[in-house]
Amino acid sequence: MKVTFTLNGKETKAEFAPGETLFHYLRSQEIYSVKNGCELGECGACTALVDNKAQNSCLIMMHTVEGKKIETVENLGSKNNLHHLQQKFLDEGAVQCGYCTPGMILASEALLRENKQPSTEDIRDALAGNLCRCTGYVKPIKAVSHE
Amino acid sequence: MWASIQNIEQPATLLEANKLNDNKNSVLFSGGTYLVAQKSKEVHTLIDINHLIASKIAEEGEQISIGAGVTLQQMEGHFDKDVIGRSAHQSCYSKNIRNQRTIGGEIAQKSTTSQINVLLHAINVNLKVFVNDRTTEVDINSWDGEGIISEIVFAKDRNVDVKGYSVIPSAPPFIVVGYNYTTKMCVIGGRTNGFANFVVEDGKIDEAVEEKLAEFFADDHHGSCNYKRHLVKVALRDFTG
Ligand SMILES: Cc1cc2nc3c(=O)[nH]c(=O)nc-3n(C[C@H](O)[C@H](O)[C@H](O)COP(=O)(O)OP(=O)(O)OC[C@H]3O[C@@H](n4cnc5c(N)ncnc54)[C@H](O)[C@@H]3O)c2cc1C
Ligand code: FES
Ligand code: FES
Repeated sequence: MKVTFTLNGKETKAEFAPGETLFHYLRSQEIYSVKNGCELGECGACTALVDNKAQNSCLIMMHTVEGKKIETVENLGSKNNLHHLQQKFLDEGAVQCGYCTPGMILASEALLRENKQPSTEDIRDALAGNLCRCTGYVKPIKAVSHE
Repeated sequence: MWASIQNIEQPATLLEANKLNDNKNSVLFSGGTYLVAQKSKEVHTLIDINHLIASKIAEEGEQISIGAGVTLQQMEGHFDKDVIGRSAHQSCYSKNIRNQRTIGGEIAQKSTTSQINVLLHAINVNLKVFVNDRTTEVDINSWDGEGIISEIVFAKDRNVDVKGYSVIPSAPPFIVVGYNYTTKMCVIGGRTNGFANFVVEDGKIDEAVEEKLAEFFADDHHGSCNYKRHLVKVALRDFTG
């Protein structure tokens, strides 16, 4: 099957098997910021932005991305040119192993695109579906609050 | 990867979608949050209906209509602090999932732990459902689960509330109590086999209802049947003052 969409700013034509999820497709394209935590929609490690909204890519069937704008952390910043949220996460010590971090950053970015001045409650809500097993949530919330 | 999927159908009409949905290896597909998480090996064909159902909320005159493709997050945004917005929010801790989960899927899945679903049962909203070859309107409490839900319709003027009890706020509630102040209908869901509903005047539960609840709840790690009946009474007392 075939689908056309925008991936990290580039028009992309993808061929995929009917049962393929966006998560698998992204990893197959060497977009390794999306992580496999559960493949059940429970952890948010595979978060991607779909038309500016955070969703779990492991629950998104490839055929549904037709015409959509998909973004991963690779679209926000790079090693030598960090996005301001990436920098904030570093400054606040909101990253330990980093497994949850791309998902947290995308969920935060989606929130900030819709609400430039989110309350702590808004941030907690936006990150509630992104589980972190080492840093916890206090520092990531602080990193987003300081925006 | 959902390895058993061999086909994805995107039918041109609801009639075609209904015809395709005639065997146990095919399934209607909207938000996909239940289906893709489950990845049932029995399913070989997904019948995508997203382009056939509206994903807008319309308020016209005294009536509200919600397209079956509307997500819980859209409902939260539209109804904001209203009980509908609040309960859409409380139905799922994850905003990522609320961005994808549709109200049509929620109703079709007969989610008893979903506060918004219990609330819609308490309002007793009407569903526009495509069955056989036409769209019919049926109230949610009478719907037999057949057909494709295309729209949810109810009056703007409603006086309902809902309350959920869970071990921690992010966990699905083990009891959800919805109450309609106008019709006095109480609807109960949670970690239960289906919904229970009955009329409650002045917050008082009569003996017949007590018996019904005793059969409805089981003792489990969330608490005894008695404890759960007590929680229902507390909720009703709070609703009716
Ligand atoms: C992390 C996570 C947490 C969850 N938490 C909860 C929870 O707390 N409580 C809960 O109840 N569920 C929960 N779910 C399950 C799921 O989100 C719900 O069942 C949701 O209502 C499914 O909606 P959907 O739009 O994604 O439907 P889908 O997955 O697309 O479909 C669900 C079912 O409904 C049918 N269907 C879909 N749309 C229609 C329609 N318009 N007409 C007729 N049939 C239709 C499908 O054939 C399928 O059988 C959770 C899922 C995940 C991944
Ligand atoms: S891997 Fe997708 S939510 Fe966990
Ligand atoms: S930093 Fe390790 S899981 Fe969050």
